[in-house]
Amino acid sequence: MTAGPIPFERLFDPAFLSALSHLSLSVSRVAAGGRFGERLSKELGSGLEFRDYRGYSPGDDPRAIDWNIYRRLGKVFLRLYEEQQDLPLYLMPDVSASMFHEPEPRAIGGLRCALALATISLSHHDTIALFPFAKTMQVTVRSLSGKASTMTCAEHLSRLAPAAPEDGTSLSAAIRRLADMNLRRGLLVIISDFFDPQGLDAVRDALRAVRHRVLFVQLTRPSDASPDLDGDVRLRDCETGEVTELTVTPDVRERYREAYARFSADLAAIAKYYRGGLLQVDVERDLITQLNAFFAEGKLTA
Amino acid sequence: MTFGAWSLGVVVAGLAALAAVLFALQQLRTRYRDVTVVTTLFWKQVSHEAPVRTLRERFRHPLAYLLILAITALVWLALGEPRWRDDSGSESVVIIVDGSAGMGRRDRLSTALTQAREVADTVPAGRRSVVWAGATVRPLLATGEDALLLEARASGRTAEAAPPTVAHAIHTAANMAVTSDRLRIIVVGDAPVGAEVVDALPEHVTVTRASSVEAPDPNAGITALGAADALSGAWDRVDVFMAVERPQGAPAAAVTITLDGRPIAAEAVTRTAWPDGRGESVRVRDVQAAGGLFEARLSGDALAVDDYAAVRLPNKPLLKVQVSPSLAAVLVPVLAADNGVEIVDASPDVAVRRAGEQVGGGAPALEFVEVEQQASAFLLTHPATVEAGDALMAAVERIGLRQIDATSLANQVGRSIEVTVAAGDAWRFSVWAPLVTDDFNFTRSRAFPVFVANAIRWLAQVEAWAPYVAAGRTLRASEGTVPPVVLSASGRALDGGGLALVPAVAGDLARQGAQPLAVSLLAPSVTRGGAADVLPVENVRSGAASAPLVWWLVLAALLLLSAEWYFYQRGRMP
Repeated sequence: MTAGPIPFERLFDPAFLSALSHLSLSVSRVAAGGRFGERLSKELGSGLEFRDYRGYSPGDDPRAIDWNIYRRLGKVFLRLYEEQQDLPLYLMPDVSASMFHEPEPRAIGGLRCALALATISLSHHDTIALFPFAKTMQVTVRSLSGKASTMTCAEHLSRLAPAAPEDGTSLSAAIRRLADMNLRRGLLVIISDFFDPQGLDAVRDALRAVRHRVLFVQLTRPSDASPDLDGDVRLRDCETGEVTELTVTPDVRERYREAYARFSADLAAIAKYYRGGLLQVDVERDLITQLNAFFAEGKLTA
Repeated sequence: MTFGAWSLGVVVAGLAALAAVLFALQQLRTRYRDVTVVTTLFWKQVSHEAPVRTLRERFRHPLAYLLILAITALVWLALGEPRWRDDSGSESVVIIVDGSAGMGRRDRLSTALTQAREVADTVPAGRRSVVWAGATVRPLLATGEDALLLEARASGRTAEAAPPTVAHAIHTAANMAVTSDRLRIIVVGDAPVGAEVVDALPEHVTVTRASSVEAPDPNAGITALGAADALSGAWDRVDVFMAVERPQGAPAAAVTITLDGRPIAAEAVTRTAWPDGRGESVRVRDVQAAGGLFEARLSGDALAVDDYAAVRLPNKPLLKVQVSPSLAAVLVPVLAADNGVEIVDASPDVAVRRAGEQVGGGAPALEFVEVEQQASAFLLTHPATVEAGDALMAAVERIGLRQIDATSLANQVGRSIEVTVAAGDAWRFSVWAPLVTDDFNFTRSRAFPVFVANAIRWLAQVEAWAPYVAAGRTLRASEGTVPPVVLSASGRALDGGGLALVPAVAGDLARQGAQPLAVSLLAPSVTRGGAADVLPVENVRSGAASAPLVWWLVLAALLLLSAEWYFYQRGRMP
């Protein structure tokens, strides 16, 4: 297990940072007319882009009356314009012990993914916030904006240390804490393996209090779905220390695969229920390639 | 293949039991491998559905099971002492080790014991036994016992000063064998076995010798030693006779003769060489018969045990007899002629009187009784502590009542002549008085002095003595005496049960209430050695041929064990 923060050079090597700039451009080109953090406000305001007309109602701003229409038709209509607002990006990377356990910690993939999303968001003049969590949530960066803030964000991410194993993971507690902060509506990105001992039901319940849109970034590796275990094994949970003894047979492996598939399905169901997105990132594959494919499908441009 | 320690059934049953136990252990055993994982969420769900801790699991790892079964089976077979099957079938083998005096030559006994061990190793333990034929025949290794015990039991053994008992051991083994099985007797040692021994054996018994009888070294020894009443007629003296054998042509050995440790005067010793030059006879005349120990020694040679012999001489003091004046005219001349008797006036050993006279007091008495006072011609009175039957038998033998012409006496007396026995306070022999009168010719017969002398000696309870005592030969009493029951130092009857005592080994034989008996070897066959032997020599296969099978099994087990360790270390074996 990694004892401290992952060194910056290992986490964000030059090749990755270079690829990140290309990703930002690629996403802008693919999602023409919008950015993933950008959305049209429901409010019709004083923007520059004309959208529609509607009849006047008492209380409307008289400055919006289209006097040319009144002169020709004798009726009072208001000109409606789109009002574009930025979408805050709330990043919640998982820093529990399980994220740093393996020889190639999946925290690397998670933090890189966080930086990638932050980069894209910052390039579109959105603000980002950084709320890492394990047993509970911490506020590392409340607000960061501007393209120049990418490296600042990277430095914050590289300083995130793994939580103590005995702390465990409680995503539901972290979500409730975030909800209590009463932040402006935005996009909540939860980056985790989602191996919460309390289960996904607790996560589902906690999300009821969240009014943000949610993007689940599930960090996986092939061995999660198909572990390379055989025979009599004594399994020790790296966080809880809980021991499970069993004999791994083909039948048991099949049962495991079924349990893991149910877990992934449940996570997808939660994302769908909250009209959010689910991005499954294989930490053993190239992250940029996976994000490119993901954005190409337009899943984050809604 | 056969098994020395167990029967085939036991071996097969053991293998089956081992296979069953290992099979059960194979199903029960759980050898965990520790693995730390990011989460056990899903494994816990699986373990709840299919928990591992159950008493019985599906049989797994068949190759591992076969490997461990092979290892244990090899060890089990090795414990069974397997041997290649020989062609002896159900033949039993008895190995007889000669432990007699003749094996005391040089290292003959240790060589024989080593050879016996080698022979024993060639035969399965369940079909062989080893017998020690020393002073007595006794088992050295019972059937089924491990040959290693033979080495422990034979350790420190020495040849016993006894004549060969191999023939007796052969007969014993042959008689104890089951008729339906073949019995092979292998003799290890030098004791010769004559044709008469082999010819008397049943057909299913064969006797062979493990190796040839070794030619004996030149040896001289005492082969006979005994005492007899002195030819001079002196009652209190004996003549001692001795035979000394030597190889033909060898010079006569120096003989040292002592009585109670004091040398015998040379003029009393007569040495007569045998015509064939193989020995000499030695006679020692008129040796005082006072219970002394007569010893003879030769100078040392190849075999020391026959260079010494001894005999306990009898104790024969003169018998003191007091004669009643009323009988002096008839009996004093007779008693005076007896050189074993001394006539005294008081304190006699035996009194001779008429009934009712006080001569001799309470001493044993020869009494003459009027016919009217005694119904039978002879009345034997014995102490109440003595059995009446024993007293009568001894009296009849020692007094010689059988030799009396009872018919003639009866005709003259006009009454039947009878012998009766009665218990009393002392020994007494009551005889009709008319027998010593001139009316009968008994006093003038040649039997009369013998009758009186025997009666006097019986009444004095003269102790019986053994003229010679030799190992392996029946103890005999001197002529005219009945040997008493010989009691050991602890009081046990050594010749009880009606059997005569046969001293097993040379040396002192302690007796209760008497001086120890000096038992000598006196075995010509031992002294001469190399007697005619009819046994064929069998070239017994060396035991080395059977040993490797066990070691091969152990080696194979070790190799398989190493293989298991190798596979286990590399994680290729659970």
